[in-house]
Amino acid sequence: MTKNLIIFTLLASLLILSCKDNNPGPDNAASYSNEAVITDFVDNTVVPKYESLKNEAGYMKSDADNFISGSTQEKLNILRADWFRTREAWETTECFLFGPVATLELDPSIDDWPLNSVDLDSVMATSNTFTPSYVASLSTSLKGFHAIEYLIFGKNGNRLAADFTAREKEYLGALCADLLTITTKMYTEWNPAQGNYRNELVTAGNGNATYPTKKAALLEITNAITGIVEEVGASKISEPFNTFDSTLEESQFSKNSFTDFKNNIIGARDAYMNKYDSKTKTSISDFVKQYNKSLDQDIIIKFNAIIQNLGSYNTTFGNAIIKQRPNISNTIAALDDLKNNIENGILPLIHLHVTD
Amino acid sequence: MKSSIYIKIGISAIIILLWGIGACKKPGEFDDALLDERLSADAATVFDESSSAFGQVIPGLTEAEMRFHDFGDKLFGQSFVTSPSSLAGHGGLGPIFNNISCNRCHVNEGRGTPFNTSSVSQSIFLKTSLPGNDINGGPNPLPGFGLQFQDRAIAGAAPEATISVTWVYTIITLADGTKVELREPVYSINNPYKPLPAGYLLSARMSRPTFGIGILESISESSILRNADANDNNVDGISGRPNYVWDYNKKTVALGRLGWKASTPDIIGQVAKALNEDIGVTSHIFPFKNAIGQPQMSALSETSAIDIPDSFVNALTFYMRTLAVPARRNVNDLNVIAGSKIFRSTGCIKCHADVQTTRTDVSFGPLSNLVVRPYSDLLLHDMGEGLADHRSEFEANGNEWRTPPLWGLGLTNRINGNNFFLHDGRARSFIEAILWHGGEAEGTRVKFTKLSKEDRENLMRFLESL
Repeated sequence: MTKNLIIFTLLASLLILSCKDNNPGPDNAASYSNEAVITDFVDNTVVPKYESLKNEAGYMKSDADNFISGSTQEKLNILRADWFRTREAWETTECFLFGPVATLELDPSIDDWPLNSVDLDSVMATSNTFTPSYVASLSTSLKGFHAIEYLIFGKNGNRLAADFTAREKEYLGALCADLLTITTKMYTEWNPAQGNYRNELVTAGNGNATYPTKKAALLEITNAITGIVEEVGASKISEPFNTFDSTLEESQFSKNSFTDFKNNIIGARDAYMNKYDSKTKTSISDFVKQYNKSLDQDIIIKFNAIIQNLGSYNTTFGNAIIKQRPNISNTIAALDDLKNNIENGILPLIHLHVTD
Repeated sequence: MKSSIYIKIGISAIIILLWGIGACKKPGEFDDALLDERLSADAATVFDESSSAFGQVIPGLTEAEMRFHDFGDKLFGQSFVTSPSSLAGHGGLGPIFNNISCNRCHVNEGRGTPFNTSSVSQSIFLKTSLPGNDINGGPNPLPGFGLQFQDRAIAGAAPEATISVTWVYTIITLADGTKVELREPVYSINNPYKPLPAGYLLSARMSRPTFGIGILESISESSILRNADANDNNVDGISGRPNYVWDYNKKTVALGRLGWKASTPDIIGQVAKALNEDIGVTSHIFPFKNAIGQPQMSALSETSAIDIPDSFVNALTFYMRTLAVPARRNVNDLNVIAGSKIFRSTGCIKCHADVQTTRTDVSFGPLSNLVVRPYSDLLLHDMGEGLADHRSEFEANGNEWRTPPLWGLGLTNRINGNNFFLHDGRARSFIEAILWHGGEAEGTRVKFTKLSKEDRENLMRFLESL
């Protein structure tokens, strides 16, 4: 009898232990709220980054005008540096491609690819004045980052200031003005005083028709981060890699593709941690930490490793897909692994724990 | 002792008998009511309610199938440019077109916008034709313009025409005094590259969501036809009938399933037609440019080759075939449940049929034998004069429209930034869309106008849950 009691007690203890919740729940619940994640993400990441992009586009427009008024090589180099900075500002926003940037098609308006070079030559051959309305009416494959890149770097990346025709300068000025208009719209669409998409997200769950729950808003932010990680790995890198075709490289005139990819992933990591301009606010990372600290650490380690990896290539992307195939293959695998970590790790946590 | 043995034998016999009865019981038909309401597409449902919800892949693909899906995904977003292009598969645009890529009309794999909205490019076009039929029973092309107006062109070519729209507004007053403004588009065809022939017909087509169409394609023909009642034999006022259309791929007549008038039988036909008519790209199914015979052709420096290989068309087709359907939300919310009952009691369910089954497909398991809820019977219905375009497409007359699926409806605003509904985007809300129903749906529309505010709002909650 005593023996049976001991066995029963052991089995019962085992059962009780095995039933213990594997998800212990928030350990800093008092200082955390889903609302703070959403609001801080908008106010510390989305809006400041669109503001920065708009500002960089403004500097580029100003320096383009300066170049047009007296075309020296030094001014062209300044313009190229502006293009790199504006490009960086844009690439770090691609981790939140939802809302007006998608639904108003602002993304393809500045970053369509490939360039329609046949039509570009035809447009250059006309005498149409590049008024803002005329440029706005042009197909998106004739303007934006890559049209400007084509003009200021040239097909082989070695264009000289002296090579520019008056018509090309006129086009360049109009393209930079159009880019400024579109990036300004990206910013104002989130501005409370104008488009106010900010309000759509920060009022999630409070009678808001677009995001009726906070869960919907958190899924939106997380899926957008996943989306860019997947796009860099499965599309931007894989497509030229799989086809051995360097002409499919996106920023091929400036040879900036590796930097583009790196900035995409920096943007995604910083969005995950809600870190911008030395300020770190409540984040998806904080949400994950509550339930699975090791997952959070793992994701951050993987982000950092990929960023370091993308910065370590000592050649252009076009060369690397031919000459450094094992390395590129590893980069693709690391991005896929990170994407799976977020998809299979964070999304279930949101579905399970966010009920408001 | 002996009697105890008999008792044991007796009990054992009863147990064996009961077990035998249970074992012989044949499984009954699974009750559809027991299905998880969230699973709009059975195993092809995904639990995503973000802006990417319409672009998710169905679960269960092999690694090779995933690669093909990803390739199709890339093509879906690819912009086409004027030939010759140094990039393989990117050339072939125009010379006349409506847009330059699939995802510029189907933003986030969702629905489009009507003319004169704030988006950069339009995701709507005007179909045109003359009265009568072509040799395949389809619409009769308008000489010099074909079957739709391409309102954009590559450099050096003229668009067929440009389109402008004005809106005519009316106010409807519901039984509880609520006023709803409706608007109806009036189109103008401007600057045609040549004079327009007299008597042309017009019908607008706003782009439809592309997710879930693999399931619509896989719904068994018997599942669709069991709802057909062309002569209204059951005298319920609803007389859905199938559209039988020309299959340009298989060169035969087939049951129409896709498009606003069910004028396309399958995805590959839809893909090839859209590439050709909307973008100007030729394929093996539509090998001639949409501007063939028109002077705009002279703007092209390359016209001989087919623009994209079969593999591209097949990858795009596979991509769309394997797009999942987002799960419903808030199915246990009491207002949603109440709204669901109103959806039935007002008669919406008669055309927006909830349960359909996909056919057995041994070659592709993920879409085989699914019990799905598209909320569409995929049949044609007379929707009354208010929505009539007076333009026939195969067996669909000018008053008839295919019942559009309602799944994903509640995510439209989040994913596409608008709530434009119906074939021309005239409706700006669910309520406006319902109030445009007429013809066979007139009785349902009248019932809707008489609902109390609470019932009406519950019905809206139900639609938002889809």
